[in-house]
Amino acid sequence: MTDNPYVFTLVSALVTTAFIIAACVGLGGLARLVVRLTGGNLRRQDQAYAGYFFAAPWIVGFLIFVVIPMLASLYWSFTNYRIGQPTAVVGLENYSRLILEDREFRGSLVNTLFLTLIGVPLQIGVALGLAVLLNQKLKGERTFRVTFYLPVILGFNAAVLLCWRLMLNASNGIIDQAIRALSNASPVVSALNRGLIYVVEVVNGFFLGLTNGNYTLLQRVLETGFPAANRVPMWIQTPLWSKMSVILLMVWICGSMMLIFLAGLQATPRELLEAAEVDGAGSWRRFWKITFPLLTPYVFYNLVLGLIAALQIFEPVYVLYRDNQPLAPSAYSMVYYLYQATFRFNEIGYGSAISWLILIIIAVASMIQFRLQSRWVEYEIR
Amino acid sequence: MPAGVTEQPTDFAGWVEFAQAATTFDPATGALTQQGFVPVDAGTMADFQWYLNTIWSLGGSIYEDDGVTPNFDSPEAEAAIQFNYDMKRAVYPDDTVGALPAGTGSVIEEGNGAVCLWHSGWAAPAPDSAVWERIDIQPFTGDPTNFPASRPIVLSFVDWWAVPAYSPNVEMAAEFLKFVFSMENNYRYNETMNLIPARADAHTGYVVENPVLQREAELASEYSYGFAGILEPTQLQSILQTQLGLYLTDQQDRATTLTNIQEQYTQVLRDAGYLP
Amino acid sequence: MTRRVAWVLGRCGLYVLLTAASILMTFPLFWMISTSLKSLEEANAPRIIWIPSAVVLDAYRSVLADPDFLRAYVNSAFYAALALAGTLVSIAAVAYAFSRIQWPGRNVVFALMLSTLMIPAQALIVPQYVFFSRLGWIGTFNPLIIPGFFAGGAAMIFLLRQAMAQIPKELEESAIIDGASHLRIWWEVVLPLVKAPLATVSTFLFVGFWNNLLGPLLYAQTSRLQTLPVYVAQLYNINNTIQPWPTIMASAVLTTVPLFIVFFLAQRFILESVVLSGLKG
Repeated sequence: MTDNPYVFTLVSALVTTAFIIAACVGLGGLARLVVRLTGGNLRRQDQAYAGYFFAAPWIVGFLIFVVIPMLASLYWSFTNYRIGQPTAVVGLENYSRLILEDREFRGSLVNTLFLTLIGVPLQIGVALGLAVLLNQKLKGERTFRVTFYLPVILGFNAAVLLCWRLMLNASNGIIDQAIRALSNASPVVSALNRGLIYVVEVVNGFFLGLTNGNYTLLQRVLETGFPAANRVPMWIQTPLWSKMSVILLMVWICGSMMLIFLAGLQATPRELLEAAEVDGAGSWRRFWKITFPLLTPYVFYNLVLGLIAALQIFEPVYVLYRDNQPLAPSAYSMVYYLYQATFRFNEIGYGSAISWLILIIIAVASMIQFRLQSRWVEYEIR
Repeated sequence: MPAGVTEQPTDFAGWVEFAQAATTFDPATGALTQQGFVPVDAGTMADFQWYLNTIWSLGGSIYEDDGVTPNFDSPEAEAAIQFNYDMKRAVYPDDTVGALPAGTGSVIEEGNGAVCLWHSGWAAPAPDSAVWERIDIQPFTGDPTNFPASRPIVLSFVDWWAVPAYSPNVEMAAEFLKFVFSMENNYRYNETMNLIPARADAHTGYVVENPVLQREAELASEYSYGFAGILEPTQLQSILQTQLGLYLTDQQDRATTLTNIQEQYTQVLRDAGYLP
Repeated sequence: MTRRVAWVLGRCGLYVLLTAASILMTFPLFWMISTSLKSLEEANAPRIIWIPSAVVLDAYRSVLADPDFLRAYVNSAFYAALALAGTLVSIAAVAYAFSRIQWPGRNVVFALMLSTLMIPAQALIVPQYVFFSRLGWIGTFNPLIIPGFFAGGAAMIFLLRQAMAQIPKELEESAIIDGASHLRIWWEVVLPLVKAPLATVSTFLFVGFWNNLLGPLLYAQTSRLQTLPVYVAQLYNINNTIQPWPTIMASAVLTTVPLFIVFFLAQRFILESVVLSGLKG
């Protein structure tokens, strides 16, 4: 094999393309054969050939990159496999260690819960608000849409996250400097600032207590009482604030959710709203009685996708907390922990167990959400 | 050194006092303007290397006499972790104090706010920087007041090479190691990275031409205590860093922290077959 | 207050709100550019300086003179371009199968594909890592690029499929009467009609490849293969010595330029067609 990585990859790409084309022809031919043997007419045979020919890349990829890895991972999760070392089957040991002993895994679960309970609703709220604002038939609405969606494009770029890291510095980062300037200028802002800081620290203290079984930080926050006038959010410096930085980034990137809500708002039947207006309902009532119920399927969609996305947050945690090991456990979500636990010591067996636990949790959470949707999601106005 | 301090403190109490005196805040921003003591992580000040250094300076050890059983339930381990915590609180009295502003270059450079670095090799200014004239490099002397067995320590991080037992060519690999660590090769290898060779007889050439490196090499030869065993990579660093981080950020109390370290590391060594 | 005045005030208020929100949303961008043009003293100054008093290009000069940065740029471009080419073609093919051909088993396979949306990609990284390690592909670009050739990404397939399904049958029928094969129909009739969704899919794919951090971290870690995200992520803090802010920001600005270009070229398509994804039920 050649030494040049680019050539190596280009050659591999060519080989892969040939392989895929062969698979397309092969799978198509196989399908046609099966249809012929089960008595299908010529047209159906041709359709089968064409269908499987075009779908073959995905089907083959699904087998190679999804099915086989998942089965392998299921098997390995019951072993103590580590790359380069002999393996032994250890039964449920990985799982029991994860559930009963692994403090960091439990921490990542609590963090995910926090991000889902607080971060995702914030995202949805801001996205809905922006969508409502955009839906008012304004000139230049397109420009605003672009600016609100831009963070989605840039958001998970490591360089942009690095800028955030500089912006989030507690003493001379621009965000805290701005908060300080505003607080000094206006007592209302100052009171709001201190109040929010207090609430955030209490809530975070509580969740940290859940993670650690130790409520010292929460007690300390409560003892200190209402924050002093020169307090600002500590962002990436203390465990009480590490998750809030991640949530700030999550809200910044809510552009896709906003587009979904915009679609929903634009799909609201005009007649319903006009009829209500004729009946004398004010715009607020119109929103809550008609528009919002019809938006609930979209809220549900964003909720489900938001949960899965919150679980998978990787780039922000990596760039913000990579070289600050003490803070990372208070902020990372389950997938980041998966990465760390597996590749720290190449413990493939343990990592596989974590992967499967995450999958099970997603499945259960999604099932619960789907069950509950009949309670609050309405597809038609009654 | 801040005004008035001409030599480094001689025991733990002295160090805590020094760190407190040398740390200043700006009440307008609630953040540090000068930080009295900076280990590898300036923000949370939780660093396992510093912790081990402190244990050794008290005359303690990571293992008991059999060389395998972890010794984190010893009084030295406890005093060391308490000292780390006290230093943190001397610099950051509580969690509402902001860290130093993000500056540029080494944290001990003029205007960047650090007064004393724990590790001279890690965040060092450029070798030709003017600030070196006001920097004094000394070994860490532990706490002779409370632990008479204290000794001056310089922590050397020796990046070492090892050959796994299941390698196909163990003897040849061992020969290769001897080759790499001959005097000349050790010198050349470290010259490329501007680090101090592990072999004392290789402390020539670039090592003595740079006064900073020369001073470090002298101290290393005399007081160095290497962190280079075969057992530690089995996860000691990761356990220590996690537990220290929890303790120094007040998420866990001292007793639980030490117990965790002791139990987890013992378990790891047991799994790896070093302990029964 | 007359209704007209109230309405005008309401509109003004709306614009103010929207403008404020826009400023907040794009602020990090502005700060990034502004800081990259500052001198070192201004960047580290304790007070807020919104716009540098004098534009200083030193940061850009030092970044562009850094061979590691340039190589990372080339690597990112190579990775994104090759992956985009392969992934786009195979996604277009698979979407065609699901939308324009009736074949036995189509509904089952389609449902299967949708269900993979629930599987977070990272749940598969562990076994895939072992697989690639056995192939000897660790330390090459292959694991980043090759899987895409197999139409990776159910969401993109779905988007394209919805768009293709909306093409009226008649357009196809004239080609069928002429005796054209499916391949010709796909290439000459269907694809030209879905240019906008193709642009959208290309943009999303490109952004994903350009910003991908975990993949290159696992497979392309060496300094020769580093892509931009990996290289930039460790720029902040080398040996506990923080790099100058303007330099970090300048490398950030340069990194995001392709993203801007691609986004602004395609934003018209994206902002309309994400909406098309058909969500109810």
